[in-house]
Amino acid sequence: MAENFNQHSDISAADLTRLSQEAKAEATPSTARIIWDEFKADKPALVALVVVVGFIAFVMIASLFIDTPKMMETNIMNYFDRPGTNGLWLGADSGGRSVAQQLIVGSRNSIGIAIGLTVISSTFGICWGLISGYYNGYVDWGMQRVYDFMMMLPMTMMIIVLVTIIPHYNAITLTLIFSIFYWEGTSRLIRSRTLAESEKDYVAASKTSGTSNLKIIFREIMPNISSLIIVDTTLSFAENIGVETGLSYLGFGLPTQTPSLGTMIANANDPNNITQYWWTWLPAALEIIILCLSISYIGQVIRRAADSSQRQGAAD
Amino acid sequence: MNIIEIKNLKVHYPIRSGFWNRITDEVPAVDGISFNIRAGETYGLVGESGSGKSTTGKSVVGLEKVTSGSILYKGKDITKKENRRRLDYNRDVQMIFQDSLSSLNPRKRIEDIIAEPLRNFEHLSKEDEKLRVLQLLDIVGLDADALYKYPHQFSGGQRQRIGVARAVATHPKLIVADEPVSALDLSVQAQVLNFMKRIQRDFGISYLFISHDLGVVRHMCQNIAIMNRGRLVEIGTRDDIYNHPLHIYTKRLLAAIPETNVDQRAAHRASRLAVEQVYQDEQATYYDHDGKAFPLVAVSPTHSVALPEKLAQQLAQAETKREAQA
Repeated sequence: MAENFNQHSDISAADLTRLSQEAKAEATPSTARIIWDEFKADKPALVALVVVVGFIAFVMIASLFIDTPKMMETNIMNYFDRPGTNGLWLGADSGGRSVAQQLIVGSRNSIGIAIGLTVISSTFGICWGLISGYYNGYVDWGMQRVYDFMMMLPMTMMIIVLVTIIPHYNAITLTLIFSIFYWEGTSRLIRSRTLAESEKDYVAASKTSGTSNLKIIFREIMPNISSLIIVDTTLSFAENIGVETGLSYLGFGLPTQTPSLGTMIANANDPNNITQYWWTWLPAALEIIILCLSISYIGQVIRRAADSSQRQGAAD
Repeated sequence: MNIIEIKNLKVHYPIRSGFWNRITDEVPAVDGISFNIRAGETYGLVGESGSGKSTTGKSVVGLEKVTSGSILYKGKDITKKENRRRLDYNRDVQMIFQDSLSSLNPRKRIEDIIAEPLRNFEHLSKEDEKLRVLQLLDIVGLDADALYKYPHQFSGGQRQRIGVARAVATHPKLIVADEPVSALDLSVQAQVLNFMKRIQRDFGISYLFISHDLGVVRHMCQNIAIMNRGRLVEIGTRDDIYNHPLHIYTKRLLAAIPETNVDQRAAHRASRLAVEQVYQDEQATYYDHDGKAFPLVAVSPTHSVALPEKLAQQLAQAETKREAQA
């Protein structure tokens, strides 16, 4: 059969390296290259990227040098120290504990939970949506009834109840509990796009080319809805930081001995703290705002990079 | 020798309604059609939009679930998934799509697009695969630098040629071309069509050529089937259909071909209106009481028309007489 093609084309094995080099010279840049060009074209987003990556790296490394149980010990001598006194950069809270150290360890806990939750719930939601939307019919029907059932459960109430039932919970169990509920929005979103996408001709072309269903779902359709996936994942990451902080703020998040951004913002429950001891809650609040804003900036850039008609970076 | 035999093919889409979402009615997109495609020929399937020609094409490549009837390939009924898999059916039967942009995955490079059927059916080494892709690109007249580009970087004609390259990659025996040029402008149409003809000559491929453009069909096809409302109304050679049409629907389609001769504009208009008048007046005799076409009746070894036996013979005789006079 190969001879058949050899008869009709002048190209032979001898030309292979030369031609593939020619093609490489004309090749469209790689995805990583496009994303980087896009960041270079959008300076605020580049700053946001540096802020997010730098901050997460700093928090992860710095928290290794902090002895958490010791940090959480009450030290009455430092009761509500102002920032800058007694070697405490950001002052101390009502227990005389360093706000700066709590902020570092708390950020690590909150961001760690948010990353874990985003990875688990988005992966599950994306798979659920893709499979449900692609197979359609009875499979879709069954999967969507499971989804409806999960949506019917009151999420916050269930999490609070589960947290009180489980005796020794920590950051990991908390992440898993959140993950049970947070895949739903993603799955519906992905399903709706998959329904539209799987009607397109390139899917039919892949079927006639003998590609298996799973390969079509994950190698053909998924890359085509990647801009949606990226936007949804970045937004849900920003949202998931809020989920943990919100629940910790209410007192149902991490145990009291584990600091988090939520427990620090919970300091603002006390009117005294709001008016006089602003340093106990303001740094954590500012950090959340800056992180969430930066993340959504980064998400926008990646979305633009994924959609060639929206790009602002160097033309290809 | 027939490469494909379609026997009484029916594709009905269910209409669901009511509280239990039960099937309450059906849309007969394809309603019992039979024809054979011979090896190496181009078989034209013509009809207005909604007549079921694309559904027929999709059934032939195995993209559509068939309600009843059979499609025989190498003596096996390929409407069953089992048989398609056992025969590696899609290695031998490929498709060219109408919309060249949506039929190429926008996220894949040209190399991966053309190599897709090769990876699934032929399992070549990396080097051989790249060589084959380069040869295919050369055959369809594209440069090697297309290899790592994306579909949106090409013009419509180039994209359609990439689609053709993908379809011929595994050296198929039949290609279903579903309106392959109707989205292209005229000069590019000619380019792609000639090119499909060249490939047919070189590789001995058969085409099932689906189109509504009668000019293109005349250029491409030896045998033609006219489809209307899910049924075949007339089957014949190119000469039978273009010079001796019997069914009123065929005549109407032929009258719709635009004429470039401006001097005789009035005459063309008159003949067109005359055909339309006959269609309006005699619809009842050409279609059964449900508005469907009759079963096909042979009037010559090559020519069949969907009319009651008597009327068919009568029309055929009138046609021969008319020709004898002319």
